[in-house]
Amino acid sequence: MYIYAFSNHQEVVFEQLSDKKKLLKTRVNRADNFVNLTLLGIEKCLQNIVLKKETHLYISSKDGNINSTIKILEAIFRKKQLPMPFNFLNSVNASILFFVAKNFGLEGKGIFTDSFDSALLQAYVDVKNGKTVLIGRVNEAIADLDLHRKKFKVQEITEQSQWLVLSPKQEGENALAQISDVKIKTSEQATKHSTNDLFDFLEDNNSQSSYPFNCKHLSFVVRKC
Amino acid sequence: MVYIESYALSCALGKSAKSSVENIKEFTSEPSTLSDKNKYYYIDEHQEQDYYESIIKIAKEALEEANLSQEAINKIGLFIGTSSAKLPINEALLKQTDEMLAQPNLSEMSSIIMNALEIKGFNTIISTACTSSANALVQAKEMIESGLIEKALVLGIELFNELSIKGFNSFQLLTQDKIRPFDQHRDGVILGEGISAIVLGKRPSAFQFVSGSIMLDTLSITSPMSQSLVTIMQQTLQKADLLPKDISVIKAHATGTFQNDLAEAQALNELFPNHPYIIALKPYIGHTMGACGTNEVVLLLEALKQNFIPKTLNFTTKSSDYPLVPLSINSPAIKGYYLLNYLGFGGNNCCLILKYSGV
Repeated sequence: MYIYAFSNHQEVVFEQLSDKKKLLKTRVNRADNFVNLTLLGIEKCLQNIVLKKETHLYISSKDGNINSTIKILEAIFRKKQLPMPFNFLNSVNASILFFVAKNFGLEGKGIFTDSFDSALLQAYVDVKNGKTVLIGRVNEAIADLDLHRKKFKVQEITEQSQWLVLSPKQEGENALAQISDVKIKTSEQATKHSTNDLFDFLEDNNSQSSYPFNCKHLSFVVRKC
Repeated sequence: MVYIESYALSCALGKSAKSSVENIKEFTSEPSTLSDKNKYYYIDEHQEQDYYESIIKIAKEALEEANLSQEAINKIGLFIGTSSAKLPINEALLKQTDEMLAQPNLSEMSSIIMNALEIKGFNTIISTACTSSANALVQAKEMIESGLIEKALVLGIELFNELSIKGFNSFQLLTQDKIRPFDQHRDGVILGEGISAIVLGKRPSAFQFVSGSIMLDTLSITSPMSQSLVTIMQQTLQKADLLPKDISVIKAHATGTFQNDLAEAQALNELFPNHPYIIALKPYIGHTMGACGTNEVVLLLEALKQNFIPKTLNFTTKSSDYPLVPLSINSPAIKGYYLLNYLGFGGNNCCLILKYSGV
Protein backbone atom coordinates (compact mmCIF):
# COMPACT_ATOMS: atom_id res chain seq x y z
CA MET A 1 0.00 0.00 0.00
CA TYR A 2 1.45 3.34 -1.09
CA ILE A 3 0.89 6.91 0.10
CA TYR A 4 0.47 9.27 -2.86
CA ALA A 5 -0.42 12.44 -0.97
CA PHE A 6 -0.83 13.62 2.58
CA SER A 7 -1.68 16.70 4.61
CA ASN A 8 -1.07 17.43 8.25
CA HIS A 9 -3.31 20.37 9.12
CA GLN A 10 -3.11 21.14 12.84
CA GLU A 11 -4.01 24.44 14.39
CA VAL A 12 -3.73 25.56 17.96
CA VAL A 13 -6.87 27.36 19.12
CA PHE A 14 -6.29 30.50 21.18
CA GLU A 15 -9.24 32.79 21.90
CA GLN A 16 -11.78 31.35 19.46
CA LEU A 17 -12.13 28.89 16.60
CA SER A 18 -10.48 30.23 13.44
CA ASP A 19 -12.51 31.38 10.42
CA LYS A 20 -11.63 28.52 8.10
CA LYS A 21 -13.87 29.74 5.28
CA LYS A 22 -11.27 32.41 4.44
CA LEU A 23 -8.69 29.73 3.70
CA LEU A 24 -10.92 27.43 1.64
CA LYS A 25 -11.02 27.42 -2.16
CA THR A 26 -14.49 25.89 -2.10
CA ARG A 27 -17.54 27.29 -0.32
CA VAL A 28 -20.17 24.88 0.93
CA ASN A 29 -23.69 25.90 1.85
CA ARG A 30 -24.52 25.34 5.51
CA ALA A 31 -20.95 24.30 6.30
CA ASP A 32 -19.97 24.64 9.93
CA ASN A 33 -16.59 24.49 11.66
CA PHE A 34 -16.32 20.67 11.43
CA VAL A 35 -17.15 20.65 7.72
CA ASN A 36 -14.75 23.49 6.94
CA LEU A 37 -11.95 21.93 9.02
CA THR A 38 -12.43 18.67 7.11
CA LEU A 39 -12.39 20.39 3.71
CA LEU A 40 -9.34 22.46 4.64
CA GLY A 41 -7.27 19.36 5.36
CA ILE A 42 -8.43 17.66 2.16
CA GLU A 43 -7.74 20.69 -0.03
CA LYS A 44 -4.17 20.68 1.26
CA CYS A 45 -3.87 16.94 0.63
CA LEU A 46 -5.23 17.09 -2.91
CA GLN A 47 -3.23 20.11 -4.14
CA ASN A 48 -1.41 18.02 -6.75
CA ILE A 49 -3.68 15.07 -7.23
CA VAL A 50 -7.11 14.44 -8.76
CA LEU A 51 -9.06 11.49 -7.42
CA LYS A 52 -11.15 9.16 -9.56
CA LYS A 53 -14.83 9.09 -8.68
CA GLU A 54 -14.57 5.44 -7.57
CA THR A 55 -12.22 6.45 -4.73
CA HIS A 56 -13.28 5.21 -1.31
CA LEU A 57 -13.56 7.67 1.58
CA TYR A 58 -12.86 7.09 5.28
CA ILE A 59 -13.31 9.82 7.88
CA SER A 60 -12.40 9.16 11.49
CA SER A 61 -13.15 11.34 14.46
CA LYS A 62 -13.32 10.62 18.16
CA ASP A 63 -16.17 13.05 18.84
CA GLY A 64 -17.57 13.87 15.38
CA ASN A 65 -19.30 17.19 14.78
CA ILE A 66 -19.38 18.03 18.46
CA ASN A 67 -20.51 21.68 18.06
CA SER A 68 -23.59 20.75 16.02
CA THR A 69 -24.47 18.06 18.54
CA ILE A 70 -24.19 20.53 21.41
CA LYS A 71 -26.38 23.07 19.56
CA ILE A 72 -29.11 20.47 19.07
CA LEU A 73 -28.98 19.16 22.63
CA GLU A 74 -29.20 22.76 23.88
CA ALA A 75 -32.23 23.38 21.64
CA ILE A 76 -34.00 20.21 22.79
CA PHE A 77 -33.15 20.04 26.49
CA ARG A 78 -32.49 23.63 27.55
CA LYS A 79 -34.63 25.71 25.16
CA LYS A 80 -37.31 23.01 24.67
CA GLN A 81 -37.33 23.63 20.91
CA LEU A 82 -37.12 21.47 17.83
CA PRO A 83 -33.57 21.50 16.40
CA MET A 84 -32.87 23.41 13.21
CA PRO A 85 -33.05 20.79 10.42
CA PHE A 86 -29.57 21.45 9.10
CA ASN A 87 -28.02 21.45 12.58
CA PHE A 88 -29.49 17.98 12.89
CA LEU A 89 -28.12 16.95 9.51
CA ASN A 90 -24.63 18.26 10.30
CA SER A 91 -24.62 16.32 13.56
CA VAL A 92 -25.22 13.04 11.71
CA ASN A 93 -21.82 11.53 11.07
CA ALA A 94 -22.75 10.46 7.53
CA SER A 95 -23.22 14.11 6.52
CA ILE A 96 -19.51 14.89 6.52
CA LEU A 97 -19.01 12.03 4.06
CA PHE A 98 -21.61 13.68 1.81
CA PHE A 99 -19.98 17.12 1.94
CA VAL A 100 -16.56 15.68 1.07
CA ALA A 101 -17.89 13.36 -1.64
CA LYS A 102 -19.91 16.14 -3.24
CA ASN A 103 -17.04 18.61 -3.24
CA PHE A 104 -14.40 16.23 -4.53
CA GLY A 105 -16.61 14.18 -6.86
CA LEU A 106 -16.38 10.84 -5.04
CA GLU A 107 -18.92 8.04 -5.47
CA GLY A 108 -17.11 5.09 -3.89
CA LYS A 109 -17.54 3.63 -0.44
CA GLY A 110 -18.05 6.13 2.42
CA ILE A 111 -17.27 5.15 6.01
CA PHE A 112 -17.21 7.27 9.16
CA THR A 113 -15.46 5.60 12.06
CA ASP A 114 -14.21 6.34 15.54
CA SER A 115 -10.47 5.91 15.15
CA PHE A 116 -7.91 6.58 12.45
CA ASP A 117 -6.01 3.35 12.73
CA SER A 118 -9.16 1.21 12.63
CA ALA A 119 -10.03 3.12 9.44
CA LEU A 120 -6.49 2.56 8.16
CA LEU A 121 -6.86 -1.21 8.47
CA GLN A 122 -10.19 -1.13 6.63
CA ALA A 123 -8.61 1.05 3.94
CA TYR A 124 -5.73 -1.45 3.70
CA VAL A 125 -8.28 -4.15 2.78
CA ASP A 126 -9.69 -1.89 0.05
CA VAL A 127 -6.24 -1.11 -1.33
CA LYS A 128 -5.44 -4.84 -1.38
CA ASN A 129 -8.60 -5.12 -3.51
CA GLY A 130 -7.18 -2.55 -5.95
CA LYS A 131 -9.00 0.57 -4.73
CA THR A 132 -7.74 4.09 -4.09
CA VAL A 133 -8.69 5.49 -0.69
CA LEU A 134 -8.88 9.02 0.73
CA ILE A 135 -8.60 8.61 4.49
CA GLY A 136 -8.49 11.23 7.19
CA ARG A 137 -8.84 12.16 10.79
CA VAL A 138 -10.75 15.27 11.91
CA ASN A 139 -11.05 16.50 15.46
CA GLU A 140 -12.62 19.88 16.13
CA ALA A 141 -12.60 21.89 19.34
CA ILE A 142 -15.74 22.87 21.20
CA ALA A 143 -16.46 26.52 20.41
CA ASP A 144 -16.87 27.19 24.13
CA LEU A 145 -13.16 26.77 24.85
CA ASP A 146 -13.62 26.67 28.62
CA LEU A 147 -16.04 23.79 28.19
CA HIS A 148 -13.50 22.06 25.92
CA ARG A 149 -10.68 22.44 28.48
CA LYS A 150 -12.91 21.17 31.26
CA LYS A 151 -14.37 18.27 29.33
CA PHE A 152 -11.14 16.98 27.82
CA LYS A 153 -8.86 18.03 30.69
CA VAL A 154 -6.41 19.90 28.43
CA GLN A 155 -4.89 23.36 28.53
CA GLU A 156 -3.68 23.66 24.93
CA ILE A 157 -6.44 23.06 22.37
CA THR A 158 -5.54 21.77 18.92
CA GLU A 159 -7.78 21.02 15.93
CA GLN A 160 -6.68 18.44 13.40
CA SER A 161 -7.53 17.55 9.82
CA GLN A 162 -4.96 15.02 8.60
CA TRP A 163 -5.30 13.12 5.34
CA LEU A 164 -3.70 10.43 3.20
CA VAL A 165 -4.31 9.20 -0.34
CA LEU A 166 -3.60 5.47 -0.38
CA SER A 167 -3.43 3.25 -3.41
CA PRO A 168 -1.78 0.16 -4.84
CA LYS A 169 1.39 0.95 -6.84
CA GLN A 170 0.39 3.22 -9.75
CA GLU A 171 2.38 3.07 -13.01
CA GLY A 172 3.94 6.44 -13.83
CA GLU A 173 3.01 8.03 -10.47
CA ASN A 174 5.53 8.83 -7.77
CA ALA A 175 4.53 7.51 -4.39
CA LEU A 176 5.68 9.37 -1.28
CA ALA A 177 5.92 6.33 0.95
CA GLN A 178 5.02 2.67 1.26
CA ILE A 179 3.10 1.11 4.16
CA SER A 180 3.97 -2.56 4.65
CA ASP A 181 3.97 -5.34 7.25
CA VAL A 182 0.45 -4.38 8.38
CA LYS A 183 -0.62 -6.53 11.32
CA ILE A 184 -3.57 -6.44 13.71
CA LYS A 185 -2.64 -6.01 17.36
CA THR A 186 -4.50 -7.28 20.36
CA SER A 187 -5.72 -4.78 22.92
CA GLU A 188 -3.21 -6.23 25.40
CA GLN A 189 -0.19 -5.12 23.36
CA ALA A 190 1.26 -1.74 24.26
CA THR A 191 0.66 1.28 22.03
CA LYS A 192 3.74 3.36 21.29
CA HIS A 193 2.62 5.71 18.55
CA SER A 194 -0.26 8.07 17.91
CA THR A 195 -1.77 9.14 14.59
CA ASN A 196 0.13 12.43 14.94
CA ASP A 197 3.42 10.51 14.94
CA LEU A 198 2.65 9.06 11.50
CA PHE A 199 1.86 12.48 10.00
CA ASP A 200 4.83 14.13 11.70
CA PHE A 201 7.08 11.40 10.28
CA LEU A 202 5.74 11.99 6.76
CA GLU A 203 6.15 15.75 7.08
CA ASP A 204 9.68 15.66 8.50
CA ASN A 205 12.12 15.73 5.59
CA ASN A 206 15.00 14.93 7.93
CA SER A 207 13.43 11.84 9.46
CA GLN A 208 14.87 8.40 8.77
CA SER A 209 13.61 6.68 5.62
CA SER A 210 11.92 3.76 7.34
CA TYR A 211 10.06 3.59 10.63
CA PRO A 212 7.98 0.91 12.41
CA PHE A 213 4.70 2.19 13.85
CA ASN A 214 2.92 0.54 16.71
CA CYS A 215 -0.56 2.06 17.02
CA LYS A 216 -3.63 1.08 19.02
CA HIS A 217 -5.17 -1.37 16.54
CA LEU A 218 -2.32 -2.27 14.24
CA SER A 219 1.39 -2.18 13.60
CA PHE A 220 3.01 -1.34 10.26
CA VAL A 221 6.20 -0.05 8.69
CA VAL A 222 6.39 3.17 6.65
CA ARG A 223 9.22 3.51 4.13
CA LYS A 224 9.68 6.83 2.35
CA CYS A 225 10.12 6.41 -1.41
CA MET B 1 -16.93 -17.68 1.33
CA VAL B 2 -18.40 -15.91 4.36
CA TYR B 3 -21.41 -17.22 6.26
CA ILE B 4 -23.69 -16.00 9.01
CA GLU B 5 -22.78 -18.41 11.78
CA SER B 6 -25.17 -17.11 14.44
CA TYR B 7 -27.34 -14.16 15.37
CA ALA B 8 -29.35 -12.60 18.21
CA LEU B 9 -31.86 -9.75 18.38
CA SER B 10 -33.86 -7.65 20.78
CA CYS B 11 -36.48 -5.31 19.32
CA ALA B 12 -40.05 -4.12 19.78
CA LEU B 13 -41.35 -7.53 18.69
CA GLY B 14 -39.51 -9.48 21.36
CA LYS B 15 -36.36 -9.99 23.36
CA SER B 16 -35.02 -12.77 21.13
CA ALA B 17 -34.90 -13.41 17.41
CA LYS B 18 -37.12 -16.46 17.85
CA SER B 19 -39.84 -14.70 19.86
CA SER B 20 -39.69 -11.62 17.62
CA VAL B 21 -40.40 -13.69 14.53
CA GLU B 22 -43.07 -15.74 16.27
CA ASN B 23 -44.73 -12.40 16.97
CA ILE B 24 -44.51 -11.45 13.30
CA LYS B 25 -46.91 -14.33 12.56
CA GLU B 26 -49.43 -12.98 15.02
CA PHE B 27 -48.21 -9.38 15.04
CA THR B 28 -48.39 -8.13 18.58
CA SER B 29 -46.12 -5.08 18.42
CA GLU B 30 -47.63 -1.60 18.56
CA PRO B 31 -45.70 1.66 18.89
CA SER B 32 -46.04 3.82 22.00
CA THR B 33 -47.34 7.35 21.63
CA LEU B 34 -44.96 10.06 22.86
CA SER B 35 -45.99 13.34 24.50
CA ASP B 36 -45.64 15.20 21.18
CA LYS B 37 -48.03 12.65 19.59
CA ASN B 38 -45.23 11.05 17.59
CA LYS B 39 -44.91 7.30 17.95
CA TYR B 40 -41.99 5.08 18.87
CA TYR B 41 -41.27 1.35 18.97
CA TYR B 42 -39.59 0.59 22.31
CA ILE B 43 -37.83 -2.69 23.05
CA ASP B 44 -39.49 -2.76 26.45
CA GLU B 45 -39.82 -0.52 29.47
CA HIS B 46 -36.38 0.79 28.80
CA GLN B 47 -34.08 2.29 31.40
CA GLU B 48 -31.04 4.32 30.50
CA GLN B 49 -28.76 2.50 32.92
CA ASP B 50 -29.42 -0.74 31.03
CA TYR B 51 -27.63 0.61 27.95
CA TYR B 52 -24.50 -1.54 28.00
CA GLU B 53 -26.17 -4.49 29.76
CA SER B 54 -28.72 -4.80 26.95
CA ILE B 55 -26.01 -4.69 24.27
CA ILE B 56 -23.73 -7.17 26.02
CA LYS B 57 -26.59 -9.60 26.61
CA ILE B 58 -27.41 -9.78 22.89
CA ALA B 59 -23.73 -10.00 21.90
CA LYS B 60 -23.21 -12.89 24.35
CA GLU B 61 -26.23 -14.73 22.96
CA ALA B 62 -24.80 -14.60 19.44
CA LEU B 63 -21.31 -15.65 20.62
CA GLU B 64 -22.77 -18.57 22.59
CA GLU B 65 -24.88 -19.70 19.65
CA ALA B 66 -21.78 -19.63 17.44
CA ASN B 67 -20.15 -21.99 19.97
CA LEU B 68 -16.77 -20.25 19.85
CA SER B 69 -13.81 -21.08 22.04
CA GLN B 70 -12.50 -18.38 24.37
CA GLU B 71 -9.44 -18.08 22.12
CA ALA B 72 -11.68 -17.44 19.09
CA ILE B 73 -13.65 -14.82 21.05
CA ASN B 74 -10.40 -13.12 22.08
CA LYS B 75 -9.40 -12.80 18.42
CA ILE B 76 -12.78 -11.98 16.90
CA GLY B 77 -13.08 -8.63 15.09
CA LEU B 78 -15.71 -6.33 16.61
CA PHE B 79 -17.67 -4.12 14.20
CA ILE B 80 -20.27 -1.84 15.81
CA GLY B 81 -22.82 -0.10 13.59
CA THR B 82 -24.73 2.70 15.27
CA SER B 83 -26.09 6.10 14.36
CA SER B 84 -26.89 7.58 17.76
CA ALA B 85 -24.04 5.73 19.56
CA LYS B 86 -23.75 7.13 23.10
CA LEU B 87 -26.48 9.77 22.71
CA PRO B 88 -28.93 7.85 24.93
CA ILE B 89 -26.37 7.95 27.76
CA ASN B 90 -25.46 11.58 27.15
CA GLU B 91 -29.10 12.66 27.01
CA ALA B 92 -29.83 10.86 30.28
CA LEU B 93 -26.85 12.50 31.99
CA LEU B 94 -27.82 15.90 30.58
CA LYS B 95 -31.30 15.53 32.08
CA GLN B 96 -29.93 14.37 35.44
CA THR B 97 -26.92 16.68 35.87
CA ASP B 98 -27.28 19.36 33.15
CA GLU B 99 -23.79 18.40 31.98
CA MET B 100 -23.47 18.71 28.21
CA LEU B 101 -22.03 15.62 26.46
CA ALA B 102 -20.79 14.08 29.68
CA GLN B 103 -19.34 11.11 27.76
CA PRO B 104 -18.23 12.35 24.33
CA ASN B 105 -15.56 9.82 23.33
CA LEU B 106 -17.10 7.41 20.81
CA SER B 107 -14.40 4.74 21.20
CA GLU B 108 -15.21 4.25 24.87
CA MET B 109 -18.29 2.34 23.71
CA SER B 110 -16.25 -0.42 22.08
CA SER B 111 -13.81 -0.55 25.02
CA ILE B 112 -16.65 -1.28 27.46
CA ILE B 113 -18.19 -3.93 25.22
CA MET B 114 -14.80 -5.56 24.52
CA ASN B 115 -13.93 -5.75 28.20
CA ALA B 116 -17.27 -7.35 29.04
CA LEU B 117 -16.96 -9.93 26.25
CA GLU B 118 -13.17 -10.45 26.60
CA ILE B 119 -12.61 -9.47 22.99
CA LYS B 120 -9.02 -8.36 22.39
CA GLY B 121 -8.84 -8.09 18.61
CA PHE B 122 -9.61 -5.48 15.99
CA ASN B 123 -12.53 -3.16 16.73
CA THR B 124 -14.26 -0.32 14.99
CA ILE B 125 -17.40 1.77 15.32
CA ILE B 126 -19.06 2.61 12.02
CA SER B 127 -21.50 5.50 12.08
CA THR B 128 -23.10 6.24 8.73
CA ALA B 129 -26.71 6.98 9.78
CA CYS B 130 -29.24 4.35 8.70
CA THR B 131 -26.63 2.21 6.89
CA SER B 132 -24.28 1.91 9.89
CA SER B 133 -24.71 -1.77 10.76
CA ALA B 134 -25.28 -2.86 7.14
CA ASN B 135 -21.99 -1.17 6.29
CA ALA B 136 -20.40 -2.85 9.31
CA LEU B 137 -21.46 -6.21 7.85
CA VAL B 138 -19.80 -5.39 4.51
CA GLN B 139 -16.60 -4.18 6.16
CA ALA B 140 -16.44 -7.28 8.37
CA LYS B 141 -17.02 -9.60 5.42
CA GLU B 142 -14.24 -7.96 3.42
CA MET B 143 -11.82 -8.14 6.35
CA ILE B 144 -12.54 -11.86 6.79
CA GLU B 145 -12.00 -12.42 3.06
CA SER B 146 -8.69 -10.54 3.24
CA GLY B 147 -7.45 -13.07 5.81
CA LEU B 148 -6.76 -10.42 8.46
CA ILE B 149 -9.42 -11.87 10.77
CA GLU B 150 -11.14 -15.26 10.90
CA LYS B 151 -14.45 -14.20 12.41
CA ALA B 152 -16.35 -11.00 13.14
CA LEU B 153 -18.99 -10.00 15.65
CA VAL B 154 -21.16 -7.31 14.07
CA LEU B 155 -23.40 -5.35 16.42
CA GLY B 156 -26.24 -3.05 15.42
CA ILE B 157 -27.17 -0.69 18.23
CA GLU B 158 -29.90 1.94 18.34
CA LEU B 159 -31.68 2.94 21.53
CA PHE B 160 -34.16 5.68 22.34
CA ASN B 161 -32.87 9.22 22.06
CA GLU B 162 -34.71 12.47 21.60
CA LEU B 163 -32.22 13.95 19.18
CA SER B 164 -33.07 11.43 16.46
CA ILE B 165 -36.83 11.79 16.94
CA LYS B 166 -36.75 15.57 17.00
CA GLY B 167 -34.28 15.67 14.13
CA PHE B 168 -36.54 13.49 11.96
CA ASN B 169 -39.49 15.58 13.13
CA SER B 170 -37.71 18.78 12.04
CA PHE B 171 -37.65 17.34 8.51
CA GLN B 172 -41.33 16.31 8.80
CA LEU B 173 -40.41 12.68 8.19
CA LEU B 174 -42.44 11.14 11.04
CA THR B 175 -45.95 9.76 10.72
CA GLN B 176 -48.38 9.82 13.62
CA ASP B 177 -50.30 6.98 11.99
CA LYS B 178 -48.60 3.89 10.50
CA ILE B 179 -45.56 3.11 8.38
CA ARG B 180 -47.06 2.33 4.97
CA PRO B 181 -44.21 1.25 2.69
CA PHE B 182 -44.81 1.93 -1.02
CA ASP B 183 -48.45 2.88 -0.37
CA GLN B 184 -50.12 5.80 -2.11
CA HIS B 185 -50.99 7.23 1.32
CA ARG B 186 -47.58 6.81 2.95
CA ASP B 187 -46.71 9.84 5.06
CA GLY B 188 -43.63 9.01 7.08
CA VAL B 189 -41.73 6.72 9.35
CA ILE B 190 -41.85 5.71 13.02
CA LEU B 191 -38.50 5.27 14.74
CA GLY B 192 -37.69 2.33 16.99
CA GLU B 193 -35.13 0.65 19.20
CA GLY B 194 -33.19 -2.47 18.35
CA ILE B 195 -30.02 -4.31 19.24
CA SER B 196 -28.74 -7.19 17.17
CA ALA B 197 -25.59 -9.25 16.86
CA ILE B 198 -24.34 -11.35 13.96
CA VAL B 199 -21.29 -13.62 13.94
CA LEU B 200 -19.67 -13.89 10.52
CA GLY B 201 -17.10 -16.52 9.62
CA LYS B 202 -16.12 -19.22 7.15
CA ARG B 203 -17.98 -22.11 8.80
CA PRO B 204 -20.75 -23.06 6.35
CA SER B 205 -24.32 -22.40 7.45
CA ALA B 206 -27.73 -22.07 5.79
CA PHE B 207 -27.05 -18.37 5.24
CA GLN B 208 -24.19 -17.31 2.98
CA PHE B 209 -23.21 -13.66 2.81
CA VAL B 210 -22.62 -13.52 -0.93
CA SER B 211 -21.83 -9.86 -1.64
CA GLY B 212 -22.17 -6.34 -0.35
CA SER B 213 -21.56 -2.83 -1.65
CA ILE B 214 -21.39 0.62 -0.14
CA MET B 215 -21.65 3.73 -2.31
CA LEU B 216 -22.00 7.47 -1.88
CA ASP B 217 -24.81 9.26 -3.68
CA THR B 218 -24.01 12.97 -3.91
CA LEU B 219 -27.13 14.33 -5.59
CA SER B 220 -29.01 15.07 -2.36
CA ILE B 221 -28.08 14.90 1.31
CA THR B 222 -31.62 13.97 2.39
CA SER B 223 -33.17 11.96 -0.45
CA PRO B 224 -31.80 9.01 -2.40
CA MET B 225 -31.77 9.12 -6.18
CA SER B 226 -33.18 6.14 -8.07
CA GLN B 227 -30.26 5.97 -10.52
CA SER B 228 -27.78 5.68 -7.63
CA LEU B 229 -29.85 2.83 -6.20
CA VAL B 230 -29.86 1.04 -9.56
CA THR B 231 -26.08 1.44 -9.70
CA ILE B 232 -25.42 0.02 -6.23
CA MET B 233 -27.78 -2.93 -6.78
CA GLN B 234 -26.09 -3.66 -10.14
CA GLN B 235 -22.67 -3.48 -8.52
CA THR B 236 -23.72 -5.90 -5.77
CA LEU B 237 -25.18 -8.32 -8.33
CA GLN B 238 -21.98 -8.13 -10.39
CA LYS B 239 -19.82 -8.87 -7.36
CA ALA B 240 -21.95 -11.97 -6.77
CA ASP B 241 -21.85 -12.90 -10.48
CA LEU B 242 -25.66 -12.80 -10.54
CA LEU B 243 -28.33 -11.28 -12.77
CA PRO B 244 -31.48 -9.51 -11.54
CA LYS B 245 -33.55 -12.57 -12.52
CA ASP B 246 -31.56 -14.64 -10.01
CA ILE B 247 -32.96 -12.70 -7.04
CA SER B 248 -35.93 -14.35 -5.34
CA VAL B 249 -36.75 -11.80 -2.64
CA ILE B 250 -35.91 -8.15 -2.05
CA LYS B 251 -35.96 -6.66 1.44
CA ALA B 252 -36.48 -3.00 0.62
CA HIS B 253 -35.30 -0.14 2.84
CA ALA B 254 -38.88 1.14 2.59
CA THR B 255 -39.20 3.80 5.26
CA GLY B 256 -42.69 4.83 4.18
CA THR B 257 -41.48 8.39 3.54
CA PHE B 258 -42.59 9.88 0.25
CA GLN B 259 -39.24 10.55 -1.47
CA ASN B 260 -37.42 7.51 -0.13
CA ASP B 261 -40.02 5.01 -1.29
CA LEU B 262 -40.45 6.81 -4.62
CA ALA B 263 -36.73 6.55 -5.46
CA GLU B 264 -36.46 2.95 -4.27
CA ALA B 265 -39.59 1.84 -6.12
CA GLN B 266 -38.41 3.47 -9.34
CA ALA B 267 -35.04 1.72 -9.00
CA LEU B 268 -36.63 -1.66 -8.22
CA ASN B 269 -39.02 -1.35 -11.18
CA GLU B 270 -36.17 -0.49 -13.51
CA LEU B 271 -33.83 -3.30 -12.44
CA PHE B 272 -36.35 -6.01 -11.59
CA PRO B 273 -39.14 -5.93 -14.20
CA ASN B 274 -39.83 -9.58 -13.27
CA HIS B 275 -40.92 -8.33 -9.81
CA PRO B 276 -39.55 -10.81 -7.26
CA TYR B 277 -41.17 -10.77 -3.82
CA ILE B 278 -40.61 -7.36 -2.26
CA ILE B 279 -40.89 -7.06 1.51
CA ALA B 280 -40.50 -4.29 4.10
CA LEU B 281 -39.78 -4.97 7.76
CA LYS B 282 -39.93 -1.48 9.32
CA PRO B 283 -43.70 -1.64 9.98
CA TYR B 284 -42.96 -4.42 12.52
CA ILE B 285 -40.22 -2.75 14.61
CA GLY B 286 -39.98 0.82 13.38
CA HIS B 287 -36.99 2.33 11.65
CA THR B 288 -34.14 1.29 13.92
CA MET B 289 -31.75 3.60 12.05
CA GLY B 290 -28.10 2.57 12.55
CA ALA B 291 -29.17 -0.88 13.73
CA CYS B 292 -31.69 -1.57 10.95
CA GLY B 293 -28.99 -3.29 8.87
CA THR B 294 -28.39 -6.16 11.26
CA ASN B 295 -31.88 -6.06 12.83
CA GLU B 296 -33.60 -6.65 9.51
CA VAL B 297 -31.08 -9.31 8.44
CA VAL B 298 -31.77 -11.21 11.67
CA LEU B 299 -35.57 -10.83 11.35
CA LEU B 300 -35.46 -12.10 7.78
CA LEU B 301 -33.12 -15.05 8.50
CA GLU B 302 -35.07 -16.14 11.56
CA ALA B 303 -38.31 -15.95 9.55
CA LEU B 304 -36.73 -18.19 6.90
CA LYS B 305 -35.62 -20.55 9.66
CA GLN B 306 -39.26 -20.60 10.83
CA ASN B 307 -40.11 -21.36 7.19
CA PHE B 308 -41.81 -18.19 5.98
CA ILE B 309 -41.20 -14.88 4.25
CA PRO B 310 -42.92 -12.07 6.18
CA LYS B 311 -45.66 -10.06 4.53
CA THR B 312 -45.50 -6.26 4.42
CA LEU B 313 -47.93 -4.60 6.79
CA ASN B 314 -50.19 -1.62 6.11
CA PHE B 315 -50.14 -1.68 2.29
CA THR B 316 -53.61 -0.96 0.89
CA THR B 317 -53.36 1.33 -2.14
CA LYS B 318 -50.97 1.09 -5.07
CA SER B 319 -49.02 4.31 -5.66
CA SER B 320 -50.03 6.32 -8.71
CA ASP B 321 -46.31 6.94 -9.37
CA TYR B 322 -45.21 3.32 -9.79
CA PRO B 323 -46.72 -0.17 -9.93
CA LEU B 324 -44.84 -1.76 -7.02
CA VAL B 325 -46.88 -4.03 -4.75
CA PRO B 326 -45.11 -5.59 -1.76
CA LEU B 327 -45.79 -9.13 -0.55
CA SER B 328 -49.17 -9.05 1.22
CA ILE B 329 -49.34 -12.52 2.83
CA ASN B 330 -46.78 -14.57 4.69
CA SER B 331 -45.37 -16.97 2.12
CA PRO B 332 -43.36 -20.21 2.46
CA ALA B 333 -39.60 -19.73 2.67
CA ILE B 334 -37.74 -20.31 -0.58
CA LYS B 335 -34.13 -21.25 -1.17
CA GLY B 336 -32.24 -18.71 -3.23
CA TYR B 337 -30.80 -15.22 -3.30
CA TYR B 338 -32.12 -12.38 -1.14
CA LEU B 339 -31.19 -8.77 -1.88
CA LEU B 340 -31.39 -6.25 0.96
CA ASN B 341 -31.31 -2.46 0.50
CA TYR B 342 -30.31 0.14 3.07
CA LEU B 343 -30.33 3.88 2.39
CA GLY B 344 -29.03 6.57 4.69
CA PHE B 345 -28.93 10.30 5.24
CA GLY B 346 -25.91 11.83 3.59
CA GLY B 347 -26.37 9.73 0.46
CA ASN B 348 -24.88 6.66 2.12
CA ASN B 349 -26.30 3.56 0.43
CA CYS B 350 -25.64 -0.12 1.07
CA CYS B 351 -26.81 -3.29 -0.66
CA LEU B 352 -26.34 -6.90 0.49
CA ILE B 353 -27.01 -10.24 -1.18
CA LEU B 354 -27.51 -13.31 1.02
CA LYS B 355 -28.08 -16.89 -0.11
CA TYR B 356 -30.46 -19.15 1.78
CA SER B 357 -29.80 -22.82 1.19
CA GLY B 358 -32.46 -24.28 3.49
CA VAL B 359 -32.28 -25.30 7.12
